[in-house]
Amino acid sequence: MQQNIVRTREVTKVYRMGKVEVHALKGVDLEIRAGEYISIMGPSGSGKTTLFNMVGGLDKPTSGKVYIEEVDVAQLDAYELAWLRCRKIGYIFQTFNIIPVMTALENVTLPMVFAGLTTDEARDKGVALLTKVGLGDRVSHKPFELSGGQQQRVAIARAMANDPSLILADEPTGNLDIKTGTEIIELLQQLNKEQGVTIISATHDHKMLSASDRIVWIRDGKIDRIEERSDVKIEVGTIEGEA
Amino acid sequence: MKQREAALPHNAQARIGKQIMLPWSKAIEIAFKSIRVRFWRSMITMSSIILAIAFLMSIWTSTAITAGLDLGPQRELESLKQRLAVVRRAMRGGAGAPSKAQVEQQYARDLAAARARKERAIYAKQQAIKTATSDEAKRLTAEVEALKADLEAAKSLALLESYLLDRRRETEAVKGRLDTILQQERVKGDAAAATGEAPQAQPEAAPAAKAQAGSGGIGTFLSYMTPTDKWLAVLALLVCFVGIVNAMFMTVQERFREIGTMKCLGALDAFIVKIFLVESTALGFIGTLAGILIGVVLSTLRQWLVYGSPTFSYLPLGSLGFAALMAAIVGLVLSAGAAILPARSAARMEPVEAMRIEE
Repeated sequence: MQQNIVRTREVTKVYRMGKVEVHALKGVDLEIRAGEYISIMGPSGSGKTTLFNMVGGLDKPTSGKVYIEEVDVAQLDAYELAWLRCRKIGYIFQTFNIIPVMTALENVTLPMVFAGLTTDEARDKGVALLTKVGLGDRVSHKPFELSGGQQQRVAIARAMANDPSLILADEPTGNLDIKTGTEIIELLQQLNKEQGVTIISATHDHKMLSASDRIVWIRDGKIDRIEERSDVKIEVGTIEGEA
Repeated sequence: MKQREAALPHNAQARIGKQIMLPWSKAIEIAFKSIRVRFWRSMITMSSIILAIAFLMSIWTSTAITAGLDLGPQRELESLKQRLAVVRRAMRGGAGAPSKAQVEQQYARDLAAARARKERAIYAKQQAIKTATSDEAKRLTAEVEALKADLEAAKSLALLESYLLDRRRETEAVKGRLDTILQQERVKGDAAAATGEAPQAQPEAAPAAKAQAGSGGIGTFLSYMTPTDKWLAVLALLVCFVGIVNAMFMTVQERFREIGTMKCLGALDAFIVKIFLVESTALGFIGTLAGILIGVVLSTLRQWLVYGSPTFSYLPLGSLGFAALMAAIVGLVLSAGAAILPARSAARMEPVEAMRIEE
């Protein structure tokens, strides 16, 4: 269980904005173990989102290496990258990104369809996943018939569709009220504990910290510090009291 | 469905499979859902192809009808003239047609054959009388008498006369058709002169004439297109093409996030292209059909107001079908072609880019 699921080596990323070069990441070494719940924290412009996209295989580094399950992401062709995104990684977004033309169930089964499951298999698995996230009675609802929290639950079920080993959550509570946000965090925590799925989330939300095993603080394109859960015990108490 | 393993056996890379390409049916399913949900948006995209194809089709229809009105009676006239010439030659016994002597010989042969047949029948019946009962014998004897009467020489002359009468009737009929056509020609000339006034005289056209006007050289009407017509048609298609490209780019723009999400879930670029191609082609197909219908109906009505019922007498169905087929091909190629660029640009986007755009 102590195997690294994600490993970065000297990762840098340079964006070109006209003639100006922006160094978003300036050499990041990070190791994330399988089964961990990690939060990446940092002010906007710190390179937090860039790092997050790197470890999710959504962006390629300017220099350095990113390994997902010890596989160098830069070496993968389009088909292998799509395979990786489909089966190994589940994505959860701040804006939910539920596909509006599809029902909750169709959204959840889409990654399974991409993975080549038959319609029947996908439907059964999809219903089971939706039930697990507490939406068993809203299987055939369209996204506009669902609240923000419910949409995010659909997104979580969709992220779990192909039993990924890694879930990337980009500000998953950013568009939700405190209560719903807490519920979503609890759901993620439950998946982390029960299924052993690694969760990496980029967040501003301090409620998130209580759930995390480790918190990676990013500042100015570098890792500022990494805190273990034990270091933030006090905060846990206060947050849980509020919720 | 199997997944192929990457060809790097001694490396960790080997554990990564290659994503499979999804069948067209899935792309079609998603594309149609998307059309249904964004119905009015799709209708606007479709309206541009409807308008362009309706325009193209109305130009072709009016040209084909004009050509039909011009060519139809001309062809009919030609064929009648030929027929008349043949009949005249036959009457005079000229070259290329049977002479009177030949006709009489032929008739004599036919007569001899008929005579032989009847003589055989008489013989058969006489044989039958021998074994028949008295009632049957009476009936058979009467039949034999009737057959014998047919063989009298006086009847043969009557038959030859009726043959000549038939030829004469045919000549009269041809002359009658010629008059009708000349009258129609005059009506058409009057209508053109009277700028749009519907003519009163509506000579009846034989079905055979209609068929002749429609058949043979269904594409000839294209040569009746004026340079202005051609220029307008090309312009309409260009505007339509740009319109569809624009509409598809907007559709893609609206769906950046959806595309990015799909790519995050494991969709391949080619699959995204398929979805947009199917969507555009489906809209193009329906739009083209509607456009063809609208173009033909409106243009035919207009021509009918100008030329009156000869419009329908000489309706060049073959040419119209040919024009519709061409318009359908143009419409489909146009709508599919216009989608390729936007679809490719959508598919090539990195998922991160697609996600970032909305803010």
